[in-house]
Amino acid sequence: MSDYQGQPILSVQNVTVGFQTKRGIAKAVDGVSFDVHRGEVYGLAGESGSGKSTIALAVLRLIEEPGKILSGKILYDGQNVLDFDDSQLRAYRWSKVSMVFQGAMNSFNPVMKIGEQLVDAITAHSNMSLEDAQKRAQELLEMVGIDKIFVNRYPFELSGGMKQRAMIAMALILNPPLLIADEPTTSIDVIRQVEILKLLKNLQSKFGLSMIYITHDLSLMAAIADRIGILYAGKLVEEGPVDEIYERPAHPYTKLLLQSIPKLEGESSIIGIPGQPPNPLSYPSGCRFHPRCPFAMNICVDEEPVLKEVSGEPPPEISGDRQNYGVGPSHRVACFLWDKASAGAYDTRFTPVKRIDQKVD
Amino acid sequence: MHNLLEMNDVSVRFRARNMEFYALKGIDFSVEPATNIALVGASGSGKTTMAKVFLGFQKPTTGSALYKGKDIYALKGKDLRDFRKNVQPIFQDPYYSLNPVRKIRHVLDMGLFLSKLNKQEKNKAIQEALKRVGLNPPEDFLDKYPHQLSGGQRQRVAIARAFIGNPEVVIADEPVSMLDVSMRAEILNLILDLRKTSNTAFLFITHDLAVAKYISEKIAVINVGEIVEYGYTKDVIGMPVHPYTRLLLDSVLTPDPQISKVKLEKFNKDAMITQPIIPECEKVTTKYVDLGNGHYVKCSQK
Repeated sequence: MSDYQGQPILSVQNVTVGFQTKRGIAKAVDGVSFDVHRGEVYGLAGESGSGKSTIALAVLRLIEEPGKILSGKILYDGQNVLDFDDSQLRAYRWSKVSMVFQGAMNSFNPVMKIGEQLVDAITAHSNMSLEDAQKRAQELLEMVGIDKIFVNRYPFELSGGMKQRAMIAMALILNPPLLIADEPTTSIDVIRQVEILKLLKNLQSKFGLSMIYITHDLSLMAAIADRIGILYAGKLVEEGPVDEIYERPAHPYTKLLLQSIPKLEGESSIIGIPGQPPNPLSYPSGCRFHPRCPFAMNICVDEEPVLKEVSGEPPPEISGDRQNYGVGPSHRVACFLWDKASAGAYDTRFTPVKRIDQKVD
Repeated sequence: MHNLLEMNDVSVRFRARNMEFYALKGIDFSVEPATNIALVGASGSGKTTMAKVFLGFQKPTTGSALYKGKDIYALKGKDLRDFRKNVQPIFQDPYYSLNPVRKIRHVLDMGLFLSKLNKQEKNKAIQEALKRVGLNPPEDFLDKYPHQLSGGQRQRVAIARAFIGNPEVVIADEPVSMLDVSMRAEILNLILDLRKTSNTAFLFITHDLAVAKYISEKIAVINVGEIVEYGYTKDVIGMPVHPYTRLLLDSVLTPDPQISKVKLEKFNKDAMITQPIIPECEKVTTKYVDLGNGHYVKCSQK
């Protein structure tokens, strides 16, 4: 699964997005790099405030004041999206990369019929005749499982799940090769959630779409993603093929997140992560996870770990009884625990942090 | 001995212009002392309406809702105070359920409104309550306003408020669904812990069967206003009988790509819904069939 041929469809390189506030610049995304290959579903997982939606908006260049892409490159098909002028942007947005937004229930114009809104979008981006556009709108709605009679309905006449489907139809009107789905199933009920996920997966394989799937829900993620990047406080802390990440998480945060989810299978008890995600205006020094990390060492407070290939002896704190960590470029992690073994025991930077009585939550 | 809370043939009907629909249809349900039940269903199934009926917020259209054998909507005087003190809610959204202009101290003090403690005892109880929910040391939180706390901390305050007067039952409506993943587990464990150390009965409302399994001894599955399956957690999850329960179970994904990918591929709502009727139902004329061990399933044709 890790052998991808050719140029990635999207390459996000060292992108930093900042929001100017009265109390300084909040770096919602800080030096994030990842590639999305053709035909793959790349999952971005993280909690609220980790920067996952901000990355999605940056890819579409939809970051608005007071936010700004401060540095980095976003290459679509090798071309830097950040250099695009207005006309290039128009040709890029929606026809190359489109997006299903979070809370899509409210993204429709309430006073326009669903069909009109789809037709509007089609005619604005192509020179299709009105009749053809109407036909296409019907086709699209049917493709996402909505009966064509709903073409003439207003958004309030559709259920939440149907609106979400209609949003997906809207995102696909121009046959974009890359689709970004930002928490498309939050706030719809469990059964419809799985239906929408299944619909997206089917459309993705049917059209060979590349997809960025964003969610905080690692159970949903497990069902859809091929590769996953785990975000914490604006940084990518781990990345790898989906099976590898779930079976052999290499970062303490990933490992703890996976232990915090109740499961139907088995009888295991769950463990929470103490503390809370940091404020983007004052990230902790060094590794941003160190105040919550049970294995934090002195070096984690002082230095920032970089994302690099998982290599060497797996640290026992992380691996437990797991073996065979996939080494090589496909699994990357930003954690000093992986350097500990090679540094040797005499190196005091790798001794555990002495904690002053940690506050709960 | 009466049940703590009881619904007898409760229906709640809502009307809008010339349409009407039933949020609850003929519910019989009870909460016994010191038990711990999860109410599970999709959005619109009626779970929150059930909570509202029990909390005294939504009068049933027909049928009766009882607290210790007395009609909740006819309680007066001492009985009403007793009910208010002993039936406590925890709501879904800790951002809206705490008064933004009141300090945490005040929020908890209101929870003791009906107690007969003096000021000093109240202060002590407030400190204890904060410690119990892991907000330690309490002095750090007493004089804060809700906006100064994180979502997880706010939900802890809401839990402390609910438990402070030693209620007989706490009704929690999706208490973790608004929280970040990393904080959910801590709140769930806190609730488990409080349950173990008190005699409080717990009605936990959730759409997530995995959470229900983790937190409760019994599960009631509700669909379009009716309880379709009820029993011990291990029976309902281990041997689900009603098609709707099975459908819900099929929609619970798990953080394991191999399991979840197969589950997603196999998921077929229509096949689940049109499943044949439960064979046990053929033998009975009642609305529910008892499968043993208190495991009840609704027979859809009755």
